[in-house]
Amino acid sequence: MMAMVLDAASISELIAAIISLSVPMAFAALGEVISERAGVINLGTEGVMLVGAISAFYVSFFFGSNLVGVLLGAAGGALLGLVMAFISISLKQDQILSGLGIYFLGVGLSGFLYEASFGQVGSTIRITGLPQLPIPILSQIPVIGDSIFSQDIMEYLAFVTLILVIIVVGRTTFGLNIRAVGENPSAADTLGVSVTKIRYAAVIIGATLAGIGGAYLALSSHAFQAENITAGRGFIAVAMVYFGKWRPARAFFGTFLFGAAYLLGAFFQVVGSIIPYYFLLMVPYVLTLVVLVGIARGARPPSALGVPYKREGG
Amino acid sequence: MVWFKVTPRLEVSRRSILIITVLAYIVSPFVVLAVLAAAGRNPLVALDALYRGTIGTTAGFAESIVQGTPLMLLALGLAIAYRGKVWNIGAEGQQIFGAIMVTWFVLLFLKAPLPAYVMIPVALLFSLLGGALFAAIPAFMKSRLGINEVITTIMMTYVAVQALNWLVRGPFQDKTIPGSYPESPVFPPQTVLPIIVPNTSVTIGIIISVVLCFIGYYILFKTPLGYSIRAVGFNPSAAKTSGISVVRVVNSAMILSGALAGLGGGVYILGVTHSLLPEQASGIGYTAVVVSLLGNLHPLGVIFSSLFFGGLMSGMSSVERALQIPRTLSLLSQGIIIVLILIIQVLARYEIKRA
Amino acid sequence: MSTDMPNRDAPAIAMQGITKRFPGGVTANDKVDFELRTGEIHGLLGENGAGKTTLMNILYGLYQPESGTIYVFGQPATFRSPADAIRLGIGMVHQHFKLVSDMTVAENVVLGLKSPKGILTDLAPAETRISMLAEQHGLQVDPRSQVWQLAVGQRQRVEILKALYRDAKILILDEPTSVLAPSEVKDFFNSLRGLRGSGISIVLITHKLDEVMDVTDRVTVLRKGRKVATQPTSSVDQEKLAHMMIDEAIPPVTDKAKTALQEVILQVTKLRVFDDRGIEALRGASFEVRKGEILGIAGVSGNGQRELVEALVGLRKPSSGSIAVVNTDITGKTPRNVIDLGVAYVPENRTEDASIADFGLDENLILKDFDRPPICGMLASRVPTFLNSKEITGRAERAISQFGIRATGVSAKAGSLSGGNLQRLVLARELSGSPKLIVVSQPTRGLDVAATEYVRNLLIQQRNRGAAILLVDEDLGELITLSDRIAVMYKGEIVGLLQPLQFSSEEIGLLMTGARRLASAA
Repeated sequence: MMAMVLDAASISELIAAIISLSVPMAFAALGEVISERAGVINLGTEGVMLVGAISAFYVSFFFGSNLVGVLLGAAGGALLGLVMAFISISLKQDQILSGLGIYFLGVGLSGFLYEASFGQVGSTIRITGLPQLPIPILSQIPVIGDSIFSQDIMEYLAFVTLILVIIVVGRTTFGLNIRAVGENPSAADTLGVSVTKIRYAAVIIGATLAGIGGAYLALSSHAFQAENITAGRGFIAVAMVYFGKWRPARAFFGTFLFGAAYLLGAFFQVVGSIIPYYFLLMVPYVLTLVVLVGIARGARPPSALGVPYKREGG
Repeated sequence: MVWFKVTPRLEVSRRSILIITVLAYIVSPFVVLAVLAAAGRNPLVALDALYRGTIGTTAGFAESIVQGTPLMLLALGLAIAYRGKVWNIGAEGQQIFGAIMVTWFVLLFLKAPLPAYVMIPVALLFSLLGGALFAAIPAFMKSRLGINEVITTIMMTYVAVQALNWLVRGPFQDKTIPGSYPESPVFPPQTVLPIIVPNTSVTIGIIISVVLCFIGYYILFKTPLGYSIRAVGFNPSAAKTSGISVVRVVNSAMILSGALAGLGGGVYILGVTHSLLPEQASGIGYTAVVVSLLGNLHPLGVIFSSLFFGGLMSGMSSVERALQIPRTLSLLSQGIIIVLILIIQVLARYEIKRA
Repeated sequence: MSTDMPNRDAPAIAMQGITKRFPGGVTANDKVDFELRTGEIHGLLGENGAGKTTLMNILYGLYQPESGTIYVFGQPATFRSPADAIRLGIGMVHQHFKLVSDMTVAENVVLGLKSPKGILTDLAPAETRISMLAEQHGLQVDPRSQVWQLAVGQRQRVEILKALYRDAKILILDEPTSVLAPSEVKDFFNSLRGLRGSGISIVLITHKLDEVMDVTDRVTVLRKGRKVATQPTSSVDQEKLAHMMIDEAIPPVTDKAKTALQEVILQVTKLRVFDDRGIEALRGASFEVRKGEILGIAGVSGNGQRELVEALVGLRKPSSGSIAVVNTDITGKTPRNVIDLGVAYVPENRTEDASIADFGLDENLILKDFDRPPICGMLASRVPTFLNSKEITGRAERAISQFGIRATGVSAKAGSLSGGNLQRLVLARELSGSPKLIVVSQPTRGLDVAATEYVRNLLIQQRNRGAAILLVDEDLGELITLSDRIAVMYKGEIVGLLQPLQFSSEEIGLLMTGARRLASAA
């Protein structure tokens, strides 16, 4: 039975599906890496993705433009990022609590916008009139391209973003400032680097990427579930940052592991298996728990992560 | 670009916070009426419907209580946990699991149910244990391994939802009815919570909840456990230096809130649905987070905020029907009220100036 | 913005009438005048808490003064942040280094500066320039190495290079030798002279008299927030300086206890403890404290004292060795076990570790025994029930009157108390119940004169009552006053155990900086 499935074409499809499922999380994880390297943990990423998703879905459905949808998703993310930054940096509120606020805000906002636009109530709905998927791009990419190289533009963009993030964090002045602010904000402060401004920027960029991830999620979904489209992916993305030890590439590819986990349910439903379908749906979440336990001992986060910065004295 | 400076107010008395909160509660519905008027609806009709839906009629009042009761239990648990800075976001999963445990127990005795005075307390006990057990995993992950409890409790909730989905379509499914419905067999009458207000669905659940809130108040402010939870929440370093076992406190807070959430799930299933349904995953666990904040994380405040919220849901339903407004407008109004109250609470504690 | 040329005849820095107050009522600087001439090394001398660091932090833009004016090379200047100070050519090396350990030397140096390649960092030219500056001023360090790999002395060089890289003409050094070994100090001072030769003006903040005499041209003495005098170094000596620094006669040295035959309360044997970074901070210390004596622990902070204290009170597990209180082994036990054996702890950070700001006085006082009688009711002597508010209030009232705590009431929040009152609160809690062993760290840090006096007397009283006291104190004068014996720590070891007749700042200072080791050390 397994042999039937594992021929070249299916593997190719499998890989394509995994990438497709992981990309939203990958965007969000990259964003969270930036935010956390600067010292701010944003648990509201899930809410931001939801806002990104509904924005893109809305625009795509009513106006047919995927690009504008993604841009709106990014803008929504940036806006939420601004709120998060304000509450956790300027108001110096507990970052966990502020992130939660953003999460609920995102859930409420996206749910409300969805119902306002589409007037449906309930949890699992399939709607007709899905937005169109971007056309796979087959540019000058070589032969083996059926899975990895025949993706839609957002998936390429994800890899491009990964490279950009690696460069920014490791080789730009901004990245230097981010790292300094996350490890020893006092050192940066005394050299004239504005801890506030850098953290604001990092949080907003992080949330913008999460918004883009959410937008892509809406655009690429094969089964659209109105209110729970993210299904915890935002939180998993945050867990991925831990998993990847705050390195962009590791966090990025970590999300692919989870994309595969989400796929298991659908895969085994087709193939048929002893394990009940719903148990397979649990896999990503249980896997996250297992991974977190495994990483717990060795993790060394940015030293100032989670701590609002207060300059001593006055 | 103008920067604002936000500083905590220096003198905030508990009384002024209380007064401001109460005022916020009273004022906010009127704000909603203004919104409705702006949307072209008759505010007087709305006001009347709101009144009737909350306290004006028996039906409305009952509905408020029924909606508020499970919220109260969940929010109580969360208030206690949050005081210890244990951010339990998994009340939803814990209440689902509590309901699952109740179902398991009831199904064992489906053919030969014991008398009500045995079935009900034991069933509720099961729900309590279910919630506690479900919270124990994130509890130990946090206290022993330092793993963020927000992520773990949310992951557990997703697991619970899938477990619910599986059970109502599998082992717990009612196979005696034709067709394949995702629901358990209807619970026998011996498991139904006694009704205390005739001709309504108001059960002893509300009494249990209010009593537990008072007990919660005593626990939090008059017992060593509550003291240690508050101490760890305010300053874990000083608490640890003084001999308090932070591990034990974190576990206690998390498991206690899980138990209460489980109980909330049990009260809901025995008082309202009388069988295990997918609707058990109603999202009440997330609403409870907001309700506990609205109640200032105080067990007695939670009584009011949960009843207020129950009334809000009931009242807005009534307004919806009376004015024929779409559900979205109703949800928006609820959102506005919540945000308003939270903002007022924040403003009571902070002042914002131009920098 | 003035476009005048800086006045070369004007002093590099002129600070006039600087006043700085901190919340809590402490006046750190009281109308202080300070002048730094171009091309001089100027010592800023004073005891702990005299206001030296505060004054320079104001100059560097970290603090804003309540009043006063500042001139840099004759031009008036206001500093809203360090960026302003840096722009005017002022560089500061803090006592606690501000380095990002994960980054390289070059990255740390260029932090906050514009990169030659715009958005992208370009470290090569920086590395070259750093090497050049290092060579030029005798501050060798490899710009490519990661800071966490560097020894303390090297890190200090990085800090100085940070300033030189920014063309600092004025260097402020805050207690720079506190982390150096004696041989390193000599080299360091030579570098300073070299820098001075290059036209750089230097402020040397210190409390060490010999250093002032060694390397400064002029010296300004601060005492309790006020300027006492400014003199050319050639016209003073250590005695005169000491006299200016401490006006009141050194508090009469108390009668020293003779406890050789008393029972041993605390026995520490070959204790080894690792710090948070995995480095061995305590390397085999052994000592004992007897009933009715105060053992002072002297040492520059960072030589293992904190880890020692944490191991004693159960907050840190030793890797080897043992700790025993009245013959009961407590090595690696929890704070609860330690407290139950009659050990009291007065931590150096009272707001973070000793009190809960949001709790009232009454709630703070029961922090150690809230779950046992008489504070808590018991069921069948085993199960705690309810907190007894009468007892709690009673205890708070007694504490307030006995210890003279000034507060608005028993439920006044601990966060609203001034430093001195907070310390009284902590002592009220810790000293109740006649503890056998009291571990106390920096007891009078940040306290005003009256509170300091009170705390010192209290400690002596406890000693006379028969408590064994372990006193860790950076205030050497206080240590000498209060201790019956002094153990000096250096790099995690006890390098000297002194009897009262051997107490002298000079002797202890030498031991503290590793210049000497006494045979009597364990």
